[in-house]
Amino acid sequence: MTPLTKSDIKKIARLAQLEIDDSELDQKLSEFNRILSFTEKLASANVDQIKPTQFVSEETKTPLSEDKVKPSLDQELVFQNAPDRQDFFFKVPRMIGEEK
Amino acid sequence: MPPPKDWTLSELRELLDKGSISSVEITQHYLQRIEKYNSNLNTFISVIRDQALILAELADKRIANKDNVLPLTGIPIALKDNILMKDVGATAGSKFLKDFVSPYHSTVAKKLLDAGAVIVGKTNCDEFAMGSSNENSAFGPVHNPWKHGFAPGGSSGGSAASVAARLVPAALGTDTGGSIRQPAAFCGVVGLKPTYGRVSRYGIIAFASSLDQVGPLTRTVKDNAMVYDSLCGHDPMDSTSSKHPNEITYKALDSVRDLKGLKIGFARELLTERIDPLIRDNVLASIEIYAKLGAVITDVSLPHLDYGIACYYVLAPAEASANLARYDGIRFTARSPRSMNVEDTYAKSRSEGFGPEVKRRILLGTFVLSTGYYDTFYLKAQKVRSLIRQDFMNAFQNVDVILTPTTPSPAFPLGSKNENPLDMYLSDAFTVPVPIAGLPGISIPSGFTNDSRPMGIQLIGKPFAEKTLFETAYSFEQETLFHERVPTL
Amino acid sequence: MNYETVIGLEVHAQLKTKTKLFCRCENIYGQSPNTLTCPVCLAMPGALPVTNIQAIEFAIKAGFALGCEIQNHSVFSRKNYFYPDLPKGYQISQFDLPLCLNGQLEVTIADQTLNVRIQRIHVEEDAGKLLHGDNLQNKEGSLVDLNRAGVPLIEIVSHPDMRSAEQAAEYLRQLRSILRYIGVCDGNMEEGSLRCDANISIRKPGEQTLGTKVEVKNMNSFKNVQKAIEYEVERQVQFLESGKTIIQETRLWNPDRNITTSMRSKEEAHDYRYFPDPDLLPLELDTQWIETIKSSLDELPHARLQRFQKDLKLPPYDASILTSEKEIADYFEHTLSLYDESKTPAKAKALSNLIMGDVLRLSNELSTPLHQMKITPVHLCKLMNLIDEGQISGKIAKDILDDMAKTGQNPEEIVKEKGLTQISDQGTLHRCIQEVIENNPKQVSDFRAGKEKILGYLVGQVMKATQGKANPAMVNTMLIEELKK
Repeated sequence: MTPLTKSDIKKIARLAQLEIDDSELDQKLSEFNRILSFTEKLASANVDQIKPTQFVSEETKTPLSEDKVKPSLDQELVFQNAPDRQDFFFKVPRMIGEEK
Repeated sequence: MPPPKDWTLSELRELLDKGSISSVEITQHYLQRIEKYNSNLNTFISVIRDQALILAELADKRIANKDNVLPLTGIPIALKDNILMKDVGATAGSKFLKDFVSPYHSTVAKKLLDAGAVIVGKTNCDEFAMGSSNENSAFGPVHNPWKHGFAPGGSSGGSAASVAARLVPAALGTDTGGSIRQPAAFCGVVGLKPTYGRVSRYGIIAFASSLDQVGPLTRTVKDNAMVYDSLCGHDPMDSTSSKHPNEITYKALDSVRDLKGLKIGFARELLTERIDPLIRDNVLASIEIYAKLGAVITDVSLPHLDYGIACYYVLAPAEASANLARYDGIRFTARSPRSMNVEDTYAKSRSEGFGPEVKRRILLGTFVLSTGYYDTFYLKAQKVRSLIRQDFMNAFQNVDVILTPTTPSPAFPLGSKNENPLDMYLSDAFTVPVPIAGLPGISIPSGFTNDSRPMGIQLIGKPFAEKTLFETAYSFEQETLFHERVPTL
Repeated sequence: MNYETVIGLEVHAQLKTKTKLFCRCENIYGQSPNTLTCPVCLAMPGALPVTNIQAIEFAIKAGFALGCEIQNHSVFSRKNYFYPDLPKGYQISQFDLPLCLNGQLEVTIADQTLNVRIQRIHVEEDAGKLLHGDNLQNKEGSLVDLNRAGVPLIEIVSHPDMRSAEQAAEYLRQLRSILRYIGVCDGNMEEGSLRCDANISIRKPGEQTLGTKVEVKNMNSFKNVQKAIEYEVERQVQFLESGKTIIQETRLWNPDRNITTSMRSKEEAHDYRYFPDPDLLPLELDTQWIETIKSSLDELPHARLQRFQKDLKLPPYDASILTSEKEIADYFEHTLSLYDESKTPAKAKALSNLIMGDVLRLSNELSTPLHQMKITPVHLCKLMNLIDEGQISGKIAKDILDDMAKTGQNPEEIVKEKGLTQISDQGTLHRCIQEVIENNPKQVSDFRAGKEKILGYLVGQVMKATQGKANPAMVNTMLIEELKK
């Protein structure tokens, strides 16, 4: 694989909602490419006919729960850690870039 | 009251049952030790002194009334700070959750409390359990009790070091790629990562859901089994929780005499030149001890274990990139004061809240799942995961337990591996394949270097063969008595 | 130039379960903000999802009702994106392995049948609600309510088989009717329990490949669906006609301004990074269980429509009105079974006339759904009997119905109280008829001269003279007799 470029890593950072400062971009990029080239070792594994393993649980099917109401969380606890609220809403700064 | 020196959990149990000491006395003793040594070791992020003493009083009443006294009733225990306990802070070692107070109990915390255990505090760890030295904690590194300035291992470094320093008789950790076993080896304690699905993950701050497991860190194998027995079991709140029947593992240990007939597999191919010679010699010596104990040592081949780290550093970050998306500065994590609009709130809060290693892994995980790379990285890693699991299953056709070193080297100095993250990742080479395959693994003390740094061996079992692991480990422990050595603080 | 319109719909239907999809918080509309939340739907650290069996059962019902193949093996995946109404930063949905595949829905418009193929139905969780400042006099922020977060949805994805806004709206109407019929969704578009996105493209007639598609969101009524599609098609035509290229994008319907607006290249930045949710094992369903659900399915609107036409010999129009809502069809059938056990076509039609005409009119006027009206099937049946026995006329029946709707009274009581019994006494009628003949010599002579249409006027005069109580059939016969004398 060709090493990633600065614009690649910026795009990934945007998807992940992380800022990368321009001053640290070079260092982050080379570090990222070093790790990636290590994981590229996987390419040499022969996986013909091999099915992917998503779960290692002994259980093979997801349990299904009865449709019976359980109490919700107390309002006090819902907002206990909230950085901002208005009445009983979580408050977020204004949306931009979208017309509704 | 006997001299408060070096109780194991099992000894405390006997003393409590005989009534020769109270839980309050024990709890006070450990709280004092924490107060005395924590500033130096930095193993605790929070200590819940008042709650602990109330729990101890309740436990004493329970013991006095002989009311459902269980192995952990009255026993002080610490939780890694990514395990939630209602009304108590939980940081997961992150600045992002610095002020987070949990609105609910994790299933394991609830089980411990129901068993009458005395939770004394929350231990330091690498941020979101990502790290192998505990240096990725936003609350400063933990020091190895055996050698100040050396890493305790990670990410459950605070739990391992607290047990080694006798600040608590037992602690819980979490293990995703070795985060219980590796610090157990570095700190000379016993650490078990149970079979995937054995212990509920409900209320554990998730790192990588298909790999994470909670497990105990203790001074002895029997202590470990006592805690393990109290934790495991099916939980309807965790859809990946196993329905495998529970068993009592600790009671039978005293009767284990020898290991005649037990087949231990050993993969010589794992002892590459990347392994520290001290570890190499130690593991070979350990094999000898097992042979002496009557076990049959059999060569096994695990050809795909070499892909373990590469596989892990695709799968775990991928899952983490989604698991950590909920930390956004909206409902419970700190919001960046620079947020002018919602878009800013995400990127700025997350950039301020997360430390560099967490960001690195989120980026890596985001990348391997992104369009055009999913098949090359994520899907391929899942297929390699099948190969690694298959290697183990093939080996277990012929052996009961597989033995490896726990780590490629003993504890390293703090700061020595910070330049290149890959160096740090490689220290998980032996532990990573175990959760990849969903198997149980235990690390037990197997000796010391000349400068008193502990070393550990890892025993890997078949799914749900924790009992076999405990017996195999117990026999070695009773023969070698490495667990009796005490660090000088 | 003429263009062909190609439309595919993605319909989100909220399932009427008691609890949410992955936690047991109550699933109910219109509660105080954030009161129906818990660690799971708030995405607190450490919380884990557990799947609601009822949601899966409802989704399977919908799958069967839409002729789908139900998959024994399906997988929940994470769809990753950041939005304040999505607490986990990912939505648990189904991606490459959905629960239902390959269905179809026959849509009938003016006797034409259109077969709309259903690509898939998958199960997913709803997001919360984001209230914007300008709605709430709050200029500096938006507010998040997570009561809806985690409510179970099915997304029904059609193939691009519709060719007009009208077809799309009709497909949606029939889909809604089916979902309501089988009791999995209340279909309330205003409350958002049924939502629709449309993929719209145009192409020159005869072209095989599809044009660039535009996704239009936020159409919360049938009227809006039709208007939005019509607008969007016109916009695309004008675009192509003026030599511009259509770009693939998502647009929002603005019902106040009647236009669609671009959501700005938001799509471009998206890469949902779907992967199987490691917190949920695959959904593995037992064939036997699936079959049990199939056999528990109620009769679907289309089958009922056909039965009404075939067995009851109702005209297609009657049958389609009566089966448009399950409640109407149930009400009709219940009344019919009381009224005429053998369900003869004549009686079925008579009842159908009364329900389609007056009863539904009243239901509309009082804005009360049929099954909640005070006119019970038992009372309606009695009213029909009174008409049949000649005790009251059809006109009087209307007045009685109005009273029944208001008071819930038994029609027999109303007739008695108000003295509305029909006049079927020959002597009385004869006297009235004579009077009318004497007072209308011109009309009588016109009739006798061959203008037979005038009869209606004369009958009307008799009815007027009896305040509508005269038996109209008898009046008719007797009047003709008299006139021909």
